[in-house]
Order: sequence, then structure tokens, then C-alpha cells
Amino acid sequence: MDESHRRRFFKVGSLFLFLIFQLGNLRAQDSLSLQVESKLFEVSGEIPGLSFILEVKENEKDLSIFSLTQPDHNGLWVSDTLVDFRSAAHLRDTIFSASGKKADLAFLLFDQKSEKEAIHEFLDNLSRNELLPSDVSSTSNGFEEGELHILASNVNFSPYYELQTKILSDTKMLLLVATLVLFLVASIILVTIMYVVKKRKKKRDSLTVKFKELSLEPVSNLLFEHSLEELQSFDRKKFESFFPVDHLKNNLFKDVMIMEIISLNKNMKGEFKTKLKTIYRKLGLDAHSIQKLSSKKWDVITSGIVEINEMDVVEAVEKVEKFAKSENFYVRSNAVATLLNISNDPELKVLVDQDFPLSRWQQMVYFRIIKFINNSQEKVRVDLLFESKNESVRVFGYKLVRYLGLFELLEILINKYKNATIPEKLEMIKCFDVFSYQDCLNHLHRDLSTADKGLFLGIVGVLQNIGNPISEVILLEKLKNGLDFESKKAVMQALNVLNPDVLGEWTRQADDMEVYQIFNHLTDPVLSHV
Amino acid sequence: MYNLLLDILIEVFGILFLVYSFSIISFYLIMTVLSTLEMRDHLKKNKFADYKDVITSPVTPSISVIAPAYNEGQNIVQNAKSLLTLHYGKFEVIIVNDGSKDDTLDKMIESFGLVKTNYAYHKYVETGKIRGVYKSTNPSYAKLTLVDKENGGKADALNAGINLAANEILACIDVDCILSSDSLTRMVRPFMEETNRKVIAVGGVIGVANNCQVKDGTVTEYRVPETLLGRFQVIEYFRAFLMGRMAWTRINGLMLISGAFGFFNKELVLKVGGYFPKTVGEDMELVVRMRRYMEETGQKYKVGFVPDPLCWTEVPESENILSKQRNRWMRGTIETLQLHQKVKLNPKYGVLGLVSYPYWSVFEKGGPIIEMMGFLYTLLMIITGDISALYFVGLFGLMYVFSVMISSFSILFEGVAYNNYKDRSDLNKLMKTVLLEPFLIHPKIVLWGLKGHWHFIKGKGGWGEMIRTGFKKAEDKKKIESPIPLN
Repeated sequence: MDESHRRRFFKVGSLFLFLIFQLGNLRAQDSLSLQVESKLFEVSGEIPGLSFILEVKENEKDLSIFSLTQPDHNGLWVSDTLVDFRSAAHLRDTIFSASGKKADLAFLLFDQKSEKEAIHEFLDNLSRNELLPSDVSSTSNGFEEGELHILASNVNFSPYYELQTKILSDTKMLLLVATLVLFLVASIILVTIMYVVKKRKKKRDSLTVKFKELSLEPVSNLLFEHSLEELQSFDRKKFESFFPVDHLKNNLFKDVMIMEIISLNKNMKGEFKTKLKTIYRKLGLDAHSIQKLSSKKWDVITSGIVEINEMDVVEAVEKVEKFAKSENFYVRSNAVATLLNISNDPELKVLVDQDFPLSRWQQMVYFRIIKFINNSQEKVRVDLLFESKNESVRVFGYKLVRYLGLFELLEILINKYKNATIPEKLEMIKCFDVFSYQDCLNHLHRDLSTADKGLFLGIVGVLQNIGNPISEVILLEKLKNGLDFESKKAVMQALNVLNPDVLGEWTRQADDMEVYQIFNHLTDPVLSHV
Repeated sequence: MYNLLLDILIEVFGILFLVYSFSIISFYLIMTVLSTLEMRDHLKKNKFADYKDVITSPVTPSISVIAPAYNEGQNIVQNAKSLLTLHYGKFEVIIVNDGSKDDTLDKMIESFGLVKTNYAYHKYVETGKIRGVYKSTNPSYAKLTLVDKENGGKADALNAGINLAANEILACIDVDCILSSDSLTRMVRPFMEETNRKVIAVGGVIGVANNCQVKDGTVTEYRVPETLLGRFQVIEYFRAFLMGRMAWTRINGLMLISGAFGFFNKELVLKVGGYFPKTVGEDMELVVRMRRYMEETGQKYKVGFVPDPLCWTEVPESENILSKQRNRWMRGTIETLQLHQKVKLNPKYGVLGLVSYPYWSVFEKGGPIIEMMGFLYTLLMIITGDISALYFVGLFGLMYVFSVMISSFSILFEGVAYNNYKDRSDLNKLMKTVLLEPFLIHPKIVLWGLKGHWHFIKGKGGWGEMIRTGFKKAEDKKKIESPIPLN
């Protein structure tokens, strides 16, 4: 491109840009005019400070019929000052349609002729300050447009709040839906589980009843119509021929059979017990019980252990031993009970080695078994329990001395007394009491100075039964030194048994209402024999 | 500006009610699951328990059964005899006549050959004046002690019994309750089983005896009560005992043991000072105080619960009496929570402080208030038209279906665990009650709860009158009067 071409191009381009700008300016003027007029159309009635005049240039026609005047007789017709824009616009339209002349609308702002820009700004100002009267006749969607504008302008622009409202209402609905879904799912699951459980339980119960009926008769027949020798000579097939073959492989049937056999075993004696055990073994139910020990469910394992215990399945001892230190209380308790019962261990090793403290429940069960072994088989070595590292086992051992009448062990007890713990001493003194073991008196007299109230009361109780004159003196001393009510009552009761005269004499001298009350209690004939 | 505030308030309340509904549903669902697990374990454990040993074994703990009686002349003799025939080795029965205005004392003296004694006791726990301690001259009734005292309320009467109790475990019961003969053997089991925690208390289930057949001190045939209120209480007892308390036991969070049938470690009861006589919720208050003691002294402990049906009572079937009972329960709850505010959300108290206490505060104590506010809110929204129909119907439907579901589940639960109500027509009646309860009874329960709040604020106290009609099968109870060899 050469220089002349470049200049020509620049000139044309400049002109083009200028034209575009002018066109834009014209469009803006038109647009402004339209904006002002459309805004004025929206307004009903008078806008304070704003008025209008129509001007028409006409030299030939008489426009006075439109209430126009020609003040300077120069062909310029003007209207009166109009305060309502719609009236002005209406008049303009009327003139145009009647005469074909387009009237110009002049804006008067506070009686001064003004440009459209000024009017536009003035209207904007009024709008912002909510001073524009609305058009009552203008409606949109049932709402008054003016009202809508006022309402809208009443609410400050606050996008966050609008968003918050939206979120809140959405969250509420969201929560509601979530709750409903959660509820629905959970309730379906719960009801289904319960329904299934109930159905299964019902089915199991009815099957149990049915199996009981099916198994009771053959077991009874075998028990009462065949001798032990006959039963022992039968092979498994022979046994199975007495029972419904279809059910023999059913675990529930086996469980019901075992239950029935155990139940009969508990109520039978002598040869019948052996017969029941023979039936149990020949039918292979012992294997079923042992199999349960491999289960992962604690209740199934416990059930297997209980069956092994009841039916003396000695060969399962090793397997049961694994559970003697189980974390599960029920598994452990039953395993220990079973081992005590069937392992033929008079040394009670399984108990001595127990790490877990023995509960009273366990002691109750073990005591029953040990008592049975001690009475029917060989004497158990309760003394070995005293050597256990587990205090509760040692305490249980001392209890057994009392319960089983093992007075020959009292000497060991007396040797151990000095270094024993309070719970141990409490049990030991009960043994001394039961066997009226007077050799313990020195220990007891010394321990009367204990700070442990339980031990003190225990010793006083023992002294009441086996005490000697020294005991009387010590007890009286204790009384004189002041005691709490419970201890006072125990000591007075002991003294009342050991030497009622001493007590009576002391009471008469004592100036203590509580002492009189206790004395009256101790000497009340009704209370003394109930 | 005010409109904006109101809008925000409405939004906030809407959300709060929704969160409350959501929480209560979640809590109930969790409790349903927990109670199911606990019940399953309990039934499994029961299979391996031989209760016969408990009666005779020298290892079992001794029990003092304490039964306060106030104007119980109608049934006191049968009730006392029923207690004396319980199957247990080492136990005593202490009946405390709490200043009855009727012939309770005379009937006891006459029937058991009681004479006033010089019984010496110490007031470990302060009580009202004791007029006399009676023992029988008949050795057959050696286990019976009657304490006659001036009227001081149930807690005071129980404290008097505690002062005289000689045994290791206290069984605090309502004298008019029917106890199963093996109730003591079963209730001591949790005390005997625990190895590394101290069992401080054990609660039991209370069954509804109205309309049931009673024989030899045990309910032999279950029938649902004739009235809607009675049937409602059957379901409520299922929900409260079989589900609620089982669930709390699962997490060792039980805060309430019914005063009608509760077992306590005596040593601990004395350590914490016995029952607090100034509250009408003395049963709950004692459990909370015992738990607090254990937590504060850093001892491992457990509050047990036995769901087996062992105790039955006659429930009120008149609105007037039931309203007084509920009013009293609410006041008891508020009083207990007020007394032990220190526990609230305090991690030092473990489950008690972080779960049980807040639950009781929000759902048990605050429940009626929140429900009433919710009702008023919904009403306001309906009047102003600000509520979405979907929201309203959804929430209402949710709560209704949920209530029906929980109640139905509790019936199903009872059926699976014990199946006492076998008659199909009884089950149908219970189901009908479940459907009607939210409309006909629950609003009343809420109102009675609110009344309890109001009475608490006004400082109104007292127990209200408990009118007993006597068991419908009282004839069966009379059979107990026939001479039965007593130990």
C-alpha cells in the first residue's frame, strides 16, 4: 500500500467512524426520548415540577380548535401548559391525526424549558426516591405494576439473603426427604428383620415340637425295651432304624434329640443314665456336640460344651480346654465347669490356673460340681486352690473348706491367715466359726484392731460363738472406747452370748441411749428367738 | 425489617423442629437396634442359666425386700404372704406402713401375729418418726418385719426400711405388685455374674396386670385391658421396658429403675444417703446419685436390667389418675435433672453425662414443650398459609408412621422374646390402639407432661391419689392365704 492510498483509506475510515458515532448519537437521542416518554407513560397523573407544552408550526390552518394559541402570530401554535403527560401525548396524537401536523413536545422543569437529558435525570431521581406516582390502571400478572416496583424498591438489594432463603428452604426439604428416606429404609429393614426372625422362630418352634414327638418315642423304646447290653451290641445302623431316617441328618433334629436325652439324663439314675449315654454316642450325637466347638458363635460353642459336660464326652476334654480361658464369660464358665466334671482332675488345676476373677455365679456352679465329685468320686484337693495366684480362686478355696466340711485344712488356713488379704481373712474366719476352731483366737484378738469394718464385724461374730474370757475383756474394752452403732450392736450381741452378766453390768453403768436400745433389743424375747 | 426477622425466625424454628424430629427418629431407631441386640444376648444367656441352684446355694447374696404400704388394707395381707413365699433362700421382707389411715397395720398385726418389739436400729438415713417395729411370734413368719411410721412419703418409707435392712441387696418394690415366685432368683443373677465391675443396681420389667389371670402370685394368662387407656399402657410398657431400658442397658446408660421393682447394692445405697425424700422421682434420683458416686470415685460399675416378665402391677385406667401419675413422673424427671445438672454434657461422667442426661433433658423433659411448640408453629403456619402442603403432610405423616412403626415393632418384639399375649383378638386390639394412640392419647400425655412442668414451676408437689380397684382376679390371690409352709 502506497502513501496516497494509505491517506485515502485513513480519511474514509475516519469518516466512517464519525458517521457511526453520529448515528450512535442519534440513536441515543432517539433512545433517550423513548425512554423518557415510556417512563412518563408509566406515571399516572401529575409529576410535581414537570409540565409540557405542545408546539406546532402552521401558517395556513386554524388550530385553535385544539385549544392552541398563536401568541406571536408567527405561525407557531402553542398549547397551554399541561401537567399530565398523557393529556399532552393524547393532544399530540389528535392534532397529528386531524391535521397531519406533528407537534413537538416541550418539557418544562420548574417552568423552565429543559432538555430531555435533564428530564431523564429528573425522572430517574424521582424513581430512586420512590416519588413517582404509579399508574393504577397498569397491571401485570394480576399485580399492579407500580406496586410491584414499590415493593421491589422496598427490599434492599441483598443477593446473599435471597440465596440464603433459597438454601434454607432447600435444606428443609432436603432434610425432610432425607428423614423420610432414612425412616423408610430403616423401618423396612427393621420390620423385615423382625418378620424374618419371627417366621424363623415360629418355624423352629413348630419343628422342635414335631421333632420332640418324633424322637421321644424311639428314645423311650430304646430306654425301656432294651437292656444295656443289647444297646451296646447295636451298631449305628440298628440305632438309626428306630428313628425317622429323613431327619437324622438334620441339625435341628439332632439338637432336639440331644435336648431330650439330656433332659431324661437329669431325671434318671443308675443304668438308665448309661443307656442314654450309649444312645447318644451310638447315634453319633457326640460328634455333633464336638462339632459345635468349631463354631464362631459363642452360644453355639457354649451349647456344645454343655452337651459334652452333660453326656460326659471325655475325649473332648482337650478341645474344651481351649475355652477355659476364653474372654466370653459364658464360654469360659461352662468350659471350666465341664473340665471340672469330666477331666478327672481332683487337683482342680483348671481352677488354680484361672486368670479371670471368679464371679459368684461361677462359684455357685463350680461348688455344685466339686461337691458332687468330692462326694461320689475321689476327694478333691481344695488345698491346692490356696496356692493360686488368683485371689478370687483362693477365696473360693476357703469357702469350699466350709461348704465341704474340710476341717482338716484348718491348720493350713491358720498358717496362711497372717499374710492373707482382707477378703481371704473374711472367708477364713467363717471357716473357724463353722468348725469352732479355737486355735485361731489369738489371730482374731489381734485383728480386732483392724480398720476394716467388715473384718471387725466378722471377727466379733466368730468370737460370739467361740470366744473365751480374753475375748470378753477385749470386746468390753472395744465397747468402752466407743464404736459406731453397727459395731456396738455386734459387740454387745457377742458379749450377751459370752457373758450376759458382764454386759448387763456394763449397760447399767453406761450413760448412752443407744446402748440401752441395743440392750433392750438383745433381751427382747420376741427378737431373741426369731 | 420486622418482616425479615419474622421470616428468619420461622425458618429457624422450622429447621429446629425438623432437626428435633430427625433426632428423635434416629434415637429411636438406634434404641430399637440396641434393644434387639441386648434382648438376643439375654435370651441366649438365659439358655445357659440354671436358676435352681440360686435358691439353695450358700454362695448367693442375701436380699432385703422392702415394700412401703400406704392405705393398702384391701390387699396387704395377701401381698405380704405372696412376698414371703418367694422362692429364695436368704431373704427378709420388710413392710413399711407409711402412716396409713386405713386398717393396714391392724390387718398385718392380726394376720401374722405381730408384736411390737424393742428393735434397735440406727438412722443411717434420716426418716420420719418410727412408731414401732413389729415381729411375729410365729417362727413361720420369722422373715417378716413390719415397720410402723408416721406418714412421710414413699422415699421416706423406703429409707426407714433401708435402716432396718440386714442383707446385702435391697429389693425395693411396690407392695401391690405381683411378683413371680422366681423373681428374686432371676434378679440377683446380674449381681452374681459380674466379675470386674460392681453391679450397683438391677431393674426389672413391670407388666400390666389389669384383666390378666393371676394364680399363686404369677400371671398365668395374659389378656389386654378392656379400656383404651389400659391397652395404651401395655404398649407403652413394652416400649419403655423391653425396648428403651434394654437399649440403655446395652450401653450402660440406664438412668431409671422403676420404683415398683428395683434391686440395689445396700452398701452403696447407704454410702450415697438412701432415697431423697423431697422429690417425687426418688427412684430415678437414687440411680443417678449412685452412678454419680461411682463415676466420681472412679470405680467400674454397671446398672443391670432383667427383661423377663417377673413383676406385674395394676395400671390406672381412669384419665384422672393417669394424669396425676404422668404429672408426677414429669416432675420427678425435672427434679432429678435439676438436682444433677453437674452431670450435663460432662465427659467425666461418661455415657451418663454425654448421652443419658442429654437424652432425658431433650426428649423426656423437653419433649412435651417442644411438641406443643411444634403444634402451635404448625397451626400458625396453616393460618398464615406459609406452610407448604407437602412439607406439612410429609412431616405429619412421618411422625405418625414412625410412631405406629415403633409401637408395632415393640409388640412384635414382645412376641419374639416372650410371646405372652397369644390371643389373636388381643393382638388386634393392641394394633388398633397403636393406630389410635397418636390421635387420642398422645396429645393428652403431652398435656399432662406440660402440666407437670407447670406444677414444678409453681412448686406444687405430692403424689396424688392412687385408687386401686383391687385385682380383678383377687380370688386367685386369696388362695395364697391358705397355709403354705414357710421357711
